Amino acid sequence: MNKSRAFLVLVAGFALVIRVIANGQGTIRVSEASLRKAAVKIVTPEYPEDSKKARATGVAVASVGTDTSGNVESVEIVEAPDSSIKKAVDSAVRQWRFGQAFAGGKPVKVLGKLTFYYIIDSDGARVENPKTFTRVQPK
Amino acid sequence: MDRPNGFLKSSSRIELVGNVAIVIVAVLLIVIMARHYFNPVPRVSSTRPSNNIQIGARFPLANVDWRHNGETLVAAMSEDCGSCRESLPFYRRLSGALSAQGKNVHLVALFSDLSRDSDKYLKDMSVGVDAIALAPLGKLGISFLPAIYLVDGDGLVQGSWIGRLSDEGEAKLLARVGLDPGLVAAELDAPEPQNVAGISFMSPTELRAEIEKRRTVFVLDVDDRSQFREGHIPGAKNIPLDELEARFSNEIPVSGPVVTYCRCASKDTRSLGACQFLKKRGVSSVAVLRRGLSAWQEASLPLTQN
Repeated sequence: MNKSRAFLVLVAGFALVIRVIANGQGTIRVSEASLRKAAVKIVTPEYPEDSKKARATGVAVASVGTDTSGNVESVEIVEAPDSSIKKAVDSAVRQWRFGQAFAGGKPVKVLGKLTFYYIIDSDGARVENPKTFTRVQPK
Repeated sequence: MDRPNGFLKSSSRIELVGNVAIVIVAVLLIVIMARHYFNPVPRVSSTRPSNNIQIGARFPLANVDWRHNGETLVAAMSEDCGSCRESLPFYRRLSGALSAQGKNVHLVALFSDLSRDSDKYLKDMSVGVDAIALAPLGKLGISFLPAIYLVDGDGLVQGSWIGRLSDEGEAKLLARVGLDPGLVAAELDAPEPQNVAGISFMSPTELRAEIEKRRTVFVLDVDDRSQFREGHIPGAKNIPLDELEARFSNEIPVSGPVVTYCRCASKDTRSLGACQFLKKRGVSSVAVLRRGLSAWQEASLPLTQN
């Protein structure tokens, strides 16, 4: 009984490992243009009041990973003017949704980046998308 | 020491239940795997930004004699796509290896019909292809770029690789077409891109003099943030190459001058790719720091780590 049990445990473990490896293969990295085109729900990050008061300006870049259904699965803010903006971008990007991506007929996970500009000038404080993408932006 | 009968009974019952549970888990896992690999169910989605060309389907490019080609790798790309630009060094190694290792695999570059200068774009980056095809990629079902498809002699898709490939992805593609990934080493003996129209090369001392003479020179570091933090040319701005497409219009002066550099050892592939992109987008004066940060350090010029 002990031998057969050990064999079954081995089979189950092997199957699990194969499955985990297979899951890891279905991820594609895409440009920001492709990622924004694929967006079906866009939430522009807020400009936190304390960041406005501190006149924190500059670029914020989020690295975004989706699951195979297009839901945001992971967010890492790789650059931000300050910690409040970092939180605001993280919170907004987690609400984005993307269409399903397929490769070779199979749904795949997607990795990409999203860029936002925090600006204060004579027109006031605001968050803008990169000028490059004004045509595919937003709602 | 004798154990009571009840203890033995419950012990063997627990063991039996445990074994049954393990069998069920194993069977379930095997069924899931089998369904996933042997009977993929097409998903239905209202919005489907996808590459809809499936394995086993006919590659939807007309007027191609697939049989004459043997096997064909079709690389779909665009001059405006950042991930495509980043993939060019791999394509360069791929094309070099296909020739060097004598494989009967053709490499075809597929651009949107809106691209105008595709031939020159590839030549400037020393990517040798057997043919360039022009077709509306969206209508072919190709939304994500870059994408490489392996098409057999019957015109049927045998493999697809979407997006900028990881090292593992590149190795799989190479192995699929019979190339030894070990032989296709980084920076193979492919020719170094040179004399790219409108792009000049600078030495570290020339760049240093330029910075001192004209404080308006925009020095652009196109490597990753972690590499930038470890040390960079004082005053340089870091925009990783995969972010350049999104950020250039907000952050880079069109009037120039812009000098790009990377930690690319001898080939300057990333900085040259960045320069080429900026030139196409109308930046009037662009240059590459030849041999990048290595040359800067060899000239004993200062680095900063802020």
